[in-house]
Amino acid sequence: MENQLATFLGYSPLILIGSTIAAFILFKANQLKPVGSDSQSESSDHPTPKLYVQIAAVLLAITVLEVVIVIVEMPTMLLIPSLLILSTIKFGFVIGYYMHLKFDHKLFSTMFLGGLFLAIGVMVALIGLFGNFTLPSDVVEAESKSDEHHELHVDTPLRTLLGLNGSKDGDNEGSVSSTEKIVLEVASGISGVEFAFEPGTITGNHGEIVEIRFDNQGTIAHDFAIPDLDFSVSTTNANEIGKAVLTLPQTAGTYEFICSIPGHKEAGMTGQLIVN
Amino acid sequence: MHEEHVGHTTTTGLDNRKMLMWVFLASDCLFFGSLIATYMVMRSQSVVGPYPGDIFDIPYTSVSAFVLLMSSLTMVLSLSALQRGNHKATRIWLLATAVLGSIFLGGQYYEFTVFVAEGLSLDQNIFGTTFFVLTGFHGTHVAIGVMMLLSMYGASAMGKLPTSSSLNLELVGLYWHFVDIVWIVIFTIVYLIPS
Repeated sequence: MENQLATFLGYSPLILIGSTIAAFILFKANQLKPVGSDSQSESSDHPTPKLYVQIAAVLLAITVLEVVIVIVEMPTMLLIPSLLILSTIKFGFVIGYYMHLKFDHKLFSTMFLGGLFLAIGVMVALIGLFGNFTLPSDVVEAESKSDEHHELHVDTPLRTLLGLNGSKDGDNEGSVSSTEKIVLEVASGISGVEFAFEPGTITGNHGEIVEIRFDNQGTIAHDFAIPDLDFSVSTTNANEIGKAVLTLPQTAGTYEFICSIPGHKEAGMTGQLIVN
Repeated sequence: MHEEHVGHTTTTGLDNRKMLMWVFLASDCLFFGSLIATYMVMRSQSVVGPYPGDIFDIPYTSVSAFVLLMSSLTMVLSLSALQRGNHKATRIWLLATAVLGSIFLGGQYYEFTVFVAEGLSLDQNIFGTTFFVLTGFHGTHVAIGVMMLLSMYGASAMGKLPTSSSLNLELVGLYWHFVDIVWIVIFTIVYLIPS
């Protein structure tokens, strides 16, 4: 709260200047001489320059208001509807007055608004199909997400590169061999890389009983699963640690581990368990 | 192309060129709608930074938005002056519009430069890709608009923009205002709404 207040006060000169300019323009606009000679070919009630200036002042004032509510960090539930309404008002003023739709033939409005609503439909459809808009990240991970992560494939080589570079320091390749309990540690979300495990390879000996500790340091929920062994650490929220005990198979080999949340494996959340 | 078409009778009684411009703008809505929707879906899906919150400078972009809004005002004042037969005012406002548009473009160039310096490029992550494609196409629209404004200025200076053909300027104005409303939407959705 104090922080918000400080931010707000920090911007108050800007707000003051903005509203002063808006007030000044409105004041000046009221003094402009009305132009009565607007009886051109089109409709008779054509807006005057004075009206144009007044509209500009309103547009400016709305823009200032939009910036203010963002800066004072209005709660998201209120902020997004407010911003959408405010920008729709601005939109309406420009198309209605500056683009004369209000005074022109209805057919132009029909034509343009038709296209506009189609566009809004396309936007809603695309967003509905491929993603969720500003939901808390741990609720977001629904099955509809798999497609867009395919798109992320371009990033994967780069991410892998970063992941490998990053893993050199805290490398606990394989089992931490203590006598009582063997713990295999795997983390995700290290150094801002959301969709990767670190280390990418863990090793153990056949027949051993190990505890898998999955440390999710990312920003969304993940899990740790080895499909071939029918094993998983249940879904772990951001900044939590999930644990499960695994009996390594008797046969040596390489087993893939993944995050089984749809799309995450495709985004690069895979690694290898090597059983000696 | 002027005189014989201006007075042309059509079945709707409306000028075909104006109708064409509105149809074009309606289709351009779909063009930008797709780009905006793609950006909204993809912007929080980057697996590497920089992320939107790291990089946006709201006060700076607000000034850009203000400049473009004011250019819409000067545009409409220019058309209004032409319809009243005041050619000198027409040219002054036209030039002001072109200058404001160029300031916006300069601001966008500077913003892009800063973003690239901070590590966001077209191929850095999916946020960068969708952001630059969307705002880049908008900037291209503005650039084309500035060229149209300057050619209108030239026509007016050579006396080839009489009040009788004010529709030419009106069409350029429609395009220019459209570019402005697209920025109203981009400014709100891309910059102000947090991801």
